[in-house]
Amino acid sequence: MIQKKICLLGASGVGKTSLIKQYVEGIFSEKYLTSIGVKIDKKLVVCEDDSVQLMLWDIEGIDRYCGFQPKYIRGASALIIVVDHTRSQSLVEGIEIFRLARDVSDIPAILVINKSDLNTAWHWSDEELLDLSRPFSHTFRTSAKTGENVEQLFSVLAQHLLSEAGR
Amino acid sequence: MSSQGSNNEHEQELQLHALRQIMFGKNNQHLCDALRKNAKEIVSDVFSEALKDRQDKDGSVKKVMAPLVDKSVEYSVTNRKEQFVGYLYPIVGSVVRKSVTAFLSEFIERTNQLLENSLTIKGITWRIRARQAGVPYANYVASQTFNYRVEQVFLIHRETGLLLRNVSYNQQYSEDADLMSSMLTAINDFVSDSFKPNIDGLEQTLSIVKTDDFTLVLKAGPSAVLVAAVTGNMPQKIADQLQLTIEELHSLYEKQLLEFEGDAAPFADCDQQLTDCLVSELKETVKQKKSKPWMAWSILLFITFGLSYYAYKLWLVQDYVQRIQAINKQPGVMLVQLERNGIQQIKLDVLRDPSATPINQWLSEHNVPEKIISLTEKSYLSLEPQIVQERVNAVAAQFAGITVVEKDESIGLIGKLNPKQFNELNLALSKLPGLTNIQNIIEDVEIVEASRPEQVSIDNSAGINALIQLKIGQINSTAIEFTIDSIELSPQAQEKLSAVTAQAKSLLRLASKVRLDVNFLLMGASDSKGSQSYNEMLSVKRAQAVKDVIQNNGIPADKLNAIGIGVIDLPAAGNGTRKVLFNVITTQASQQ
Repeated sequence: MIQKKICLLGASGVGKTSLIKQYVEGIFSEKYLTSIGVKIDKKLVVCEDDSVQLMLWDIEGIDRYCGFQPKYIRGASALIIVVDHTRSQSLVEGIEIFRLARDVSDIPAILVINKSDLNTAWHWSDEELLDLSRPFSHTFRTSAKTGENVEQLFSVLAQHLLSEAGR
Repeated sequence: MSSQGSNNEHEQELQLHALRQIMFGKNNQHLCDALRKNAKEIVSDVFSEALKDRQDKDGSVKKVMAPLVDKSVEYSVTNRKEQFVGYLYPIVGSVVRKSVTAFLSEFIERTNQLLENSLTIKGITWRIRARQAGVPYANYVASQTFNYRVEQVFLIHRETGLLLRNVSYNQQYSEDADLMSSMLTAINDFVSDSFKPNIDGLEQTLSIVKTDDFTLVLKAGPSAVLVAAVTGNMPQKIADQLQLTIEELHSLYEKQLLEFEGDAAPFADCDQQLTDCLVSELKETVKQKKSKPWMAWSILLFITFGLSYYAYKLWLVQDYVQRIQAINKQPGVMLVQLERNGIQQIKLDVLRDPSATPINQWLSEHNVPEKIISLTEKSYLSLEPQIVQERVNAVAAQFAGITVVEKDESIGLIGKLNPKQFNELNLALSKLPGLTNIQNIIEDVEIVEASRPEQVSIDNSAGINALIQLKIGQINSTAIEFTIDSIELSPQAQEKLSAVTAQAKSLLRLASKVRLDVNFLLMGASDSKGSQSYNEMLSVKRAQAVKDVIQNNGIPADKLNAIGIGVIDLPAAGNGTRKVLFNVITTQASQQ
């Protein structure tokens, strides 16, 4: 078994905590609570003949008032940038966070477009989106509420990490 | 010129080759043959040294030998099993014994600890307090027993915050060690991010975190952080030890730390170093507990003292019981029941004549404390001579004119009384139970006339008459018994006759005072055996015999009339009819 540190980043309210809660505990709550600082969860993912323990760092929402703290992503093996397709600004901020993170680390990053249970309400076209998601290793459309693609997101990530570790 | 020189060299080479072939043979055959003959000696001389040198040089001997040894052992185990078991048996036996002994001693120690913690008052109190404080019992015990204890040690990869290894006293702590490692790292990140770098330009890092239950001590190296969770008052030496350990781990695992990619397996061997950090120190009281069990000793002493005191009390009470037995010999006292009641009390039931010594007085004379006696006393009349004597003494004390004197084996009264007093004395004595020989006692009391006889006679006549009636009654109730066909007087009969004579004398004296004529009728009788005439004669003889005695004792013959009344035919009376009965006949004398 290997352990890997994974950081979830994104603007406030895009659903980082809900994604982890859905993934780790299988629960979704409509209640919104702002995360302060960092909350850490763990989940053991068993692949065919190996396993990886993900240490999921749920980092508080980043916006213009609360700056990006590069120390938290130190030593991480992958980044998950979460955006909300009902808010255009969240993608702008997500791309900005990704850019800032790239300055300090070149670890792989996954773009997660969350709240897929709701209708799209941003002005980005699919082409533009494809263009923006190019630097990311993978892009997922997920719903923390229905659980859509959540399991898949993390299992793809786990497999990626195991293959990277040469296992 | 030069081509000539080269031709020469070539020729020399050929010659030399030919010479070598002659000396060493084709392909050094001669040389090899010569060496082969002594190969064993040559190799055996240097074999061990060569192996060692090669092993030191590149360690390849071990690699080559290991599979060989494995195969050899496998072969031996498969083919020569019994011999192999023979080799291993002593070793395995001792190892198993050692292991079983260790298990047993640990088991006993644990059981003892469990008993101590569960069944003692201290253990129960601790359980209650732990519940009140809301902490697990084991933690509470640790906090009460140890000055400090390192509960858990984490080795954390500094960059990723991932747990490399952890050891703890208590398995329950280990479950979320990886989460705690990450959180600690996050907090450390927060601290270094929130505060300015120190004067050396280095990041601020946590070194100690205190919670209600724990002190977390962090020692950071370049690649890893060592964290110890300590309960109690942490001494500086723990921080020092952690520092040494993290330095040692860095030097041992430098490469693994730098190349860490999430696989903690290479750090499995550092348990020993981490376990060395799980130090603790017992509290003084706990340390001393085993050497000086004061509590146990005091309880033992208390019990011994208590038992001795109980035994002493018991002995004391038993001694009193023995002493009180003697009360039974006291005249006028009869012991009914005497027994120990508990360890402090004695139950004493007695019957006591009112004239006898009071029980309380007797107890205090014999040094028996009254408070331990639970006394039940009932009165009775004793006929013991001492008590009767006491009664006489008491009566005599009421009369000023008389004193008590020793007389034969009994007592008598001596002195002078007027007739009234004499009557009173006589009455008082006659009321005394157990007193049969009143006449003997008072025969030496002289009756003197009072100075005013008129008045006295008036006053006395009634008393004297009463006394006369008493005497008459006593004499009338006297009967002298005889054996079959006999007129012999037995000693008892003689004694009775003396008493009757004394009474008769006294009666005559009293009668003369009130001018009363007194005559005594002595009636002889016999049983119905034999002829009537013989029996009549026998009854007369018996009456005559009695008369003779009384007459000899000093009663005038003219006052005595002996008659025989023959047979009293009462078969049921048996011997009761062979007797002489008395009857007093009184007649008022003429006034002259």
